[in-house]
Amino acid sequence: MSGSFYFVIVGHHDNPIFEMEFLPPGKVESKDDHRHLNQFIAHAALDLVDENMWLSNLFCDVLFSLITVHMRFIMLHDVRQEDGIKNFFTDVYELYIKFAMNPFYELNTPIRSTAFERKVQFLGKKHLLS
Amino acid sequence: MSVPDYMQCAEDHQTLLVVVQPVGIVPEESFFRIYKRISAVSQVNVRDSQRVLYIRYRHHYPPENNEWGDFQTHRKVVGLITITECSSAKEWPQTFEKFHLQKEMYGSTLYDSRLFVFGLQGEIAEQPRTDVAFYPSYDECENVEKRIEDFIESLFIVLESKRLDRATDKSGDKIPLLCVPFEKKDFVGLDTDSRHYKKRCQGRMRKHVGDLCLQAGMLQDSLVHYHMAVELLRSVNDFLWLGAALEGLCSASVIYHYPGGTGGRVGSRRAQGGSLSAEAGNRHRPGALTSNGINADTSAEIGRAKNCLSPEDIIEKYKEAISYYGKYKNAGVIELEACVKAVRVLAMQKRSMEASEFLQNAVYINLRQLSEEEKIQRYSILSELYERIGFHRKSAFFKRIAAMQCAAPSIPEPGWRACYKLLLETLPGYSLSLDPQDFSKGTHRGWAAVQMRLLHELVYASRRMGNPALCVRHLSFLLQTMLDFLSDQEKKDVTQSLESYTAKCPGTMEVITLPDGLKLPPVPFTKLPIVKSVKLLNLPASLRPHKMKSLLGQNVSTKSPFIYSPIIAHSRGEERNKKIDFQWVQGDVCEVQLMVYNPMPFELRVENMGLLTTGVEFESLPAALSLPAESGLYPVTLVGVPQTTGQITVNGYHTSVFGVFSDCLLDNLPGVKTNGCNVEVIPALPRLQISTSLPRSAHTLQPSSGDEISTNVSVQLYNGETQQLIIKLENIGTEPLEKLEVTAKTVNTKEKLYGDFLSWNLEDTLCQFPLKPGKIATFIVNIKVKLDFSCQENLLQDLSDDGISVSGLPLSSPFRQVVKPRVETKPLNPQESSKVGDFSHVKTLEAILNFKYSGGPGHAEGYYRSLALGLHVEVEPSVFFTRISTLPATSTRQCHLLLDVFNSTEHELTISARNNEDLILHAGECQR
Repeated sequence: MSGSFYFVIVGHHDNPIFEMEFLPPGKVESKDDHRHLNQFIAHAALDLVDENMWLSNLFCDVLFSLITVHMRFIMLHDVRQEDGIKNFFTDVYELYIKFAMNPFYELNTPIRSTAFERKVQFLGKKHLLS
Repeated sequence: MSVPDYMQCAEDHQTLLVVVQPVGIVPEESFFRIYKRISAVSQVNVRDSQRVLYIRYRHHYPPENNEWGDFQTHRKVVGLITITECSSAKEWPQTFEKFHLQKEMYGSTLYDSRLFVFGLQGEIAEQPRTDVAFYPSYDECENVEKRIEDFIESLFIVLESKRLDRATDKSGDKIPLLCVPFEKKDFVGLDTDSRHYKKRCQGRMRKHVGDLCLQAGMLQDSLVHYHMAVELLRSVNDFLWLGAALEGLCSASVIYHYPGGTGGRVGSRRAQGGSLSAEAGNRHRPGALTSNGINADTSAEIGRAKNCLSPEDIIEKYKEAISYYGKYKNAGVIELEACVKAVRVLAMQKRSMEASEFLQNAVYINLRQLSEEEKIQRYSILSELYERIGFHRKSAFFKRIAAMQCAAPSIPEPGWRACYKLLLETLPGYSLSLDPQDFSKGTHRGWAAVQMRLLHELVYASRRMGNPALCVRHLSFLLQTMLDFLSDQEKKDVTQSLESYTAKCPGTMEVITLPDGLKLPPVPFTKLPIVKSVKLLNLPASLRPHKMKSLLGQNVSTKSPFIYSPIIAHSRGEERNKKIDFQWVQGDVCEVQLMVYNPMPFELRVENMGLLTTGVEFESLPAALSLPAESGLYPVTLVGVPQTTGQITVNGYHTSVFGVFSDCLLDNLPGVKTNGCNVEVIPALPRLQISTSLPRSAHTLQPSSGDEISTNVSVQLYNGETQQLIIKLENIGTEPLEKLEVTAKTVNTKEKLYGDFLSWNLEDTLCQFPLKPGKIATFIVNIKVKLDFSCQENLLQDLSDDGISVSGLPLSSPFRQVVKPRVETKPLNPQESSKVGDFSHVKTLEAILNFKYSGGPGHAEGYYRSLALGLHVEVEPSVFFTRISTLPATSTRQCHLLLDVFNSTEHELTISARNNEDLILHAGECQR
C-alpha cells in the first residue's frame, strides 16, 4: 500500500463530516478493516491537531481560519508529499468555506453533496496522485 | 538489559532498590501481606543527619537488569529481604541454605540482606542474629517495620562508605572503568594509560558518585558531580555515559523542582507506599534543604541556583540524553525509560506538545521481540501517559490496541476479560458513554463509525467472556444509540444477532454491575418504534363521569380577582402539558393513543406493549403489534384499568422488541407530543346499558349540548298516536345503581307540539333500585305525538282540485276536540284539504332522553354518568279536515259544524266525537 491517502474533515464534536480516500490508479477499494484503522488513527490524531492549533505556526493561515469554525482537516498518507498535501488543504479549505456559506447547509453536519465530492476528488487527483 | 520498567519516574533515581522474595513455600497471600508492610517503609530518616533515604521495593527483579547497576545505581539491587516459612528445626539448615543461594543471585551488588523466618520457634529462634529474624507466625510480627528500618540504616552505612570512598579523589590511584554489560568486550586490549581512557574512567566514576550522592540524599552534591561528569564525558565523546550523566542531572533537578514526585503512582502495587512517600517528601524535604548548610551536604546553598537545571533545561537535557542513548542499540530499554520519565516531567509542566514528541519517539524504539504480555503492558503504559498529558483520544487509541492485543489470535488463551476491561476504559476517549440518556440530548458527539466499531468489539468480547447479559446490553445500546448511522444491512445484521442472543438471555431493564463496580444502565429502545405523540383518551361519552354541581365556584375561588392576569396565563401555559380536563374512572378500561413509526427497513414486531404509570394502581393490558417496514405514523392504543383512585400519571410505556424489554419514560423522549399525562381517577361508578322495545335507528341525532348519544331508536307513529316505549335498564357495571334521573329534551323545535310528547313515571322504576350489578329494571315512557299539520296548507291547497272553498274561517290553529285514544283509534285534529297520495308530509320529532345515574363510591364523591337515548319519531298525518263549514242550527245559539274529514292513512279508522256516533273511515276515504 503506497501512495494512498485518506482525507477527512472533522467537526466540532469529533464527528467526521466528510471522508474520502484517494488510491493510486490500479488499486481497488481498500479493505473494510483498513478503513476502520484509518478512522481510528485519524481520531487519535485529533489530539495533536488540537494542541497544534494553538502552538504551531505550521500552515498558519489555514489553521488559523479553521479555528474560527473549529473544523479539522486531517490527511493520512503513507508517502511524503508535503507540498501536494499543503496545496490540497488550501484548495479544499477554500472549497469548504464556499460550501459552508450555503444557507441550506447546517454547519457541522455531514456534507452530502456530489458536487463537493467531485471537486474534492478532482483536487485529490491534481495534488496528491499526480 | 531487556525488561523495561514502564513505571519508572525521575525520582526513582534517588531510591535504593531492595528485592523482597519468598523462598521455599510461602503462601502468596501471607507473602504479600508482609510485603505490603515492608514496602510501607519507603522512606527513612537516617538517624544522625537530616538526610532521607528512599527505598524502592520489588518482589521480582530480573538479574540481568541488575547488571546495569553500575550504569545507574538505582538499578542495582542493594538489599535483599527473604521471607520464608519454617516449621521445624530440622528444616532450618535447608532453609538457610536456600537463603544463601538467593543471596548469590544478586550477590555482586548486595550491600546487605535479611531473612525473615516465620513459624519457627525454639532454640534456633532464640539465637540473636542480625541477618535473621524469627517470628512465630504471620500475625505476630509487630517489629517488622523496626527491623526494616534497621536494615535500611545498615544499607545506608554501606552506601555512605562507598560514596565517601569514591568521592574522595585519590589522584594517585587508578580509577577502575565502570562499564555496562555490552561494553565489556569493546574495551579488551585498550590502552589503559592513555589520557583519553583515564578521562573516561574519571567521568564515569564522577557520574557514579553523583548517583550515590543522590541515593544518599545529598542532592546538591550529586548535581555538582553530575556537572563534572558531563564535562568530562563530553570531552571524550563517551555518549552512552554522557547520556546517563545528563539524565542524572535531570533527575536531580526534577527531584529538586517537584518534591511531590512526577510518577503520580500508577502501579497498583506501589500505590500505597508511593503516595506516602510523596506526602512525606513534601513534609521533609524543605527542612532537609534548608538545613543542608549546617549538615553533611557541603555544597549547600552555593551551587544550588547554578547547578540545578531550570524546568526548560531539564527537557533540553533529557532530549540530549535520549539522543545519545539512541546511538546504542543495546540501550533501548534505557532510552525507553528515559522517554517515559521525561514525559512524566512534561506532564507535570503541562507541556503536552513536547511530551507527545517524546512519546512518539518511545513508540518507535524497537526492543527485541516482545512477548504478547509485554506488548500489552507497553501499549497500556503509552495510553496512560497520553492520558496524563491530556491526549485522551490518543490514549484511547493505544488502550484499544492493548485490548486487541489481549485477544490476539497468536495468544493460545485469549484474555477476553482483560480485553473487555481495557476496551471499556477506552470509551471516554471516544466520547462514548454507556448511558443511553447521554445520547438523547443534542447532536451526536464523536466519530460514529469508530464508536460503532468499538461497540461491536465490546459485544464480541463480552460474548467470548461468556456473559450474554452484557452482550445483549451492549448490542441493544449499539442499536439504540447508533441507529441513525447504521446502514440498512447493518440494522438487519445487528437485530439478527441481537435476537439470537436474546433467545438465550432476554434483555432486561436492570442495571448491570460489572465486577469492578462499573454500572451499565439499562437501554430502553425508545427508537424502536419511535413514538411521536402520546394522547390520553377520554372515556366514551356514555361512560364519562360528570361532577354534580355542588360547590359553586370551586374553580373561581382559586383564581385571582382579576379577569385577566398574565401571571396566571403564564402558569397555565406551563401546566398545559400536564393538566387534563377529564377524568378516568376506577375499574373502567382507559385508553392512551400513541402515534408510532418504525424506522427499520423491515417489519418490526413489538410485543407486550403496555403503559407505565404511577400514582394509581393500574392494570395495564399489554398489546402486541407489528409495524410494517419504515411505516408512517401508526396509531396504537394502549389500554389499562385503574384499580384505585387518585391522580394517575402516565410516565411511559414498556415494550419488548427483539427479546429486549424496555421501559421508555416519556421524560426521556425528545420531541414527543403529549396532551398531558396526569389524569384524575375517580371512584368506580355503575354502568348502565339500555335496550328498548323499539328498533334501532340509523338516524343519529346531533345534540346541541355536545353529548353523544349512545343509542338511537326510531318509531313511526300517526299523528295523535300514543305508544309505550319500554326501556330496559341493565346495570352491567360492578357497582350498584342507586340513583337515576331522567330528563327529556325535544330537539327540533320548529314543529308545534301539543301536550306532553314524552311522559313517564319514574317512581315505578325507582322502586326497583338500588339496582345490583347484572340486574335489569324497566322504565316505561309514553310517546304521544300531536302535531300541527296545518302548516302544509298552501301546498295542499295548490294540489286540491275540487274547487270548494272553505266557507268558514280557515282555521289554521288546531282543534283539540277528538283525542280519545283507544287501542285502534286514531283521532285527529288539523284540517285542510289534501290529495290522496301526498303522504310524504311526514314530520319527524326527535327527542333525547337523558339518564343521569350514579351509584357506588363514585356517587359518594358526587359523580354521575349520563346516558342519552335518542328518540326518532316519524309522525304521519292521520286525519285531515278538508273543509269546515257551518250550518245554522235550530237554535240561534247553536250551529252545526260541518267537517270534511279525510283519512290519509292506509287503515280503517273510527272517529268518535263527544256525543256522536262513531264514524268509520276507510283508508283514503273522505266523508262528511
